[in-house]
Amino acid sequence: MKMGDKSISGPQIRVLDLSMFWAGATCAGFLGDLGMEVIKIESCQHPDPDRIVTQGLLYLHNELGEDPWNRGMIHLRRHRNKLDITLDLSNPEGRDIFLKLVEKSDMVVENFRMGVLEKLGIDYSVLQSVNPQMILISVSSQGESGPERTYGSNAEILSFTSGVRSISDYQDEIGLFTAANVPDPLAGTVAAGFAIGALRYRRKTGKGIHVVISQRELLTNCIGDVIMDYSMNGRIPQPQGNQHPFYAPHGCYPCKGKDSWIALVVKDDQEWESLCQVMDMPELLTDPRFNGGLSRWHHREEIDKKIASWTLQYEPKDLMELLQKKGIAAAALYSVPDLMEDEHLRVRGFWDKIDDRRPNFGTYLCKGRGFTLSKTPMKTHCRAPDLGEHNDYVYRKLLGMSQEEIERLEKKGIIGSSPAPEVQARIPKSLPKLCLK
Amino acid sequence: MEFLSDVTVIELGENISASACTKWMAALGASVIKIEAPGRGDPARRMGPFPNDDPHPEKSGMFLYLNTGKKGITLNLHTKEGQNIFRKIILKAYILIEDLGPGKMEDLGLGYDELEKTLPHLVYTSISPLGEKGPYSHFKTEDIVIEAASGMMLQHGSPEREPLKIGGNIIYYRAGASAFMGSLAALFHAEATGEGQKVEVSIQECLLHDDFITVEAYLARGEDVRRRLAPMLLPCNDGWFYIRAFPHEWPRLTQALGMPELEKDDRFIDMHRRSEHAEELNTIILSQLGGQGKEEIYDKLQKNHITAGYLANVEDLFRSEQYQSHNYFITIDHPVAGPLTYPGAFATMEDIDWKHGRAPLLGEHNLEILGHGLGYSQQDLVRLRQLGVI
Repeated sequence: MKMGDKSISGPQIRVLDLSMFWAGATCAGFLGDLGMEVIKIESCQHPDPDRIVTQGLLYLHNELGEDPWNRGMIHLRRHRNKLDITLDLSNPEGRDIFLKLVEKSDMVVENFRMGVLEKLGIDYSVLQSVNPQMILISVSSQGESGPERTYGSNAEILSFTSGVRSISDYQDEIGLFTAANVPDPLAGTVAAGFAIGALRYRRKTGKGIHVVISQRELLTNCIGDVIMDYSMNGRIPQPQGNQHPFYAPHGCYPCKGKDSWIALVVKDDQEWESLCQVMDMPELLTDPRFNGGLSRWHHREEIDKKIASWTLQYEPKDLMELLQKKGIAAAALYSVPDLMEDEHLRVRGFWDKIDDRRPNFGTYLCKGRGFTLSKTPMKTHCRAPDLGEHNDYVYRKLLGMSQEEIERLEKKGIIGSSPAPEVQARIPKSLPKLCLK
Repeated sequence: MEFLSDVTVIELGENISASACTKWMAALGASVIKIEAPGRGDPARRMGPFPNDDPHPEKSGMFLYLNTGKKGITLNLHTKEGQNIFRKIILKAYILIEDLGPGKMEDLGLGYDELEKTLPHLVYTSISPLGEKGPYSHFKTEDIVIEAASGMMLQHGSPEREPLKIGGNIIYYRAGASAFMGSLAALFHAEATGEGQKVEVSIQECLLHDDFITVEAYLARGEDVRRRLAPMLLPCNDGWFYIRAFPHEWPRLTQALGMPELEKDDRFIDMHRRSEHAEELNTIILSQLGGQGKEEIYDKLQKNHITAGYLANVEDLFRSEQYQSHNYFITIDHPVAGPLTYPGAFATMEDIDWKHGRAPLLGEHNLEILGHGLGYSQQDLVRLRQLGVI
């Protein structure tokens, strides 16, 4: 099936996506965005949890519909530009079918616990025995080897075990809050880069390759500059709150209204002068405590109090415009409603409007991708698929199975188009009432 | 052949992102040439940390770390001669990566539209805080300001306190990852078709892309989800640990706690009930595990296939047997800063080694690249230096 108007790949590249949840799905999603044919493989017994658990019960238009497993909002975003089949890999027949598909594919993406592929009898050596040029991208938690190789994780845990959380907290208390957006998409993005690198490597050498990313070590890599203080000076980096090692003021300050804030930073004397003028506090300019960057840093708490008393009078977005006009780095702390209305993102075309022709789906918005390619744009050429939507294409057209054979597999539960009854039992029967917008 | 050993990359990096991106490319074998301004160099040279807190442009921890495995030259792009030399160097490159800010390269006459005319195959990647176009693209920013504008900051921290920025400079590495992927995709296309392109990365949009569920919560249910309290970290005798326990792991957790009777306990029978009775559950967990060490608890639970973690600080990472088994931290020598330990490879590929070169001195490779590479004579290099070009 030809995906996209203009693909980066020339001849169609086929990717089998075995990943569940977030990191692997992000990797395979980018490959689909680039025009590769990505086939997501789930099973009726184990569909992607994003279809079933669907975090926070987020179903499209807050309706369960007749097929709630196709309406999860996270699923609708994360699996754009993918085809979908069901296949029970734990069944020997299912495994054989998978290997036939491997023969006709270029790459497998997975993020199982290390050891699961082996258990299923589809580790890299097996894949390579049926397709010597096969590429396998493993978006693993902790890498291929070592005492913790089989340990599992989620974004939250990675932020703890990588050291990131040890520097991301208040200075005066261990915060009991949740915070973990970056780890999975970061790993998925880097993994997609390696996947393309692997395709290029194969083009040059004729050889397949198995890439194993350690998500934990990748995250630690992203605080490497902070870690250097330990290797140089033996200092264990501590949480900094919103404080900067040498700029002050630097932080977020309360504005008018509930949970309403502005972030601002002053980096030099000129910006400090501008800030004092716009706050109408000329007396600060002659105050020796605030004279020069170093003095300001030592007296940052006094400065913060003065600024907070001033910012409280303003709406954050008005203040952002005002401060930026004066040459001071500042931005409102955007809420999601703010972001959805924001002119800047709208003009830039960040939001991806999906026109979904399925009955009772209609149009909806998805987030964009964070970067653009000018000549091979990453557009949504195909909405997220129903569970098993492309069984016919894959089993009949690609693998040449007969209708009877497909029906036989359906009867045995090896393939299908709706989750197994025990899985459906986990789906809520009704949804909480809609909040007022 | 190494992964990217036949690729030449030119980097103009002053804001972490471009340097992080090309650091990873260099580790995979690419020849990366970093161009710095004569005299002052990359601002990262002034950022530290420094050994014994003694600032020195060749000893900045941030610079040394971000620029491993690269070659470095100096070039004043504000001079005609500097621009001429740049146009010669770029002839040999497949990829240009820059993060100088929107419009900066255009002002120098080195924007994509200009270079594309003679270099149609070039992959030209620009990273900027809020994107190159749009009403806010010219805004002054810092890490905390971009996090604010992306919506990320209002999600991070305690609901009872001020929102928090994420530690370190992670968001810049995050944008570097998008530049890494986008550039390699564009390279793959260019090599097959001869058609280069512009890759544009907005840090704000990368962070918004990464948002977990809050955009969907608003779209589906009109909820404005913000910072939430969660019974996350639990104290133990030498720090903090955390249990995720996915629903199917609950029976195993009761076993690991030595209290199998809890599995059928009404208070904890499903995820919903467990979160209602979270405090009781935490008290039980603490009474069973709290007297042990954080890594001991982590190992015990994970060995029983229960998803769990511990709050690791940087020292814990150096002691981690997992990291040691991979030789994750490696020692790299440097002629001025000396031998230091750096975080290293985060990916493995059979037959392909991660390259661990050191960071370049300011202008270290001027002679090699401008002299031997482009044919400038020794006297010309002296003249260029006197003219302030290199």
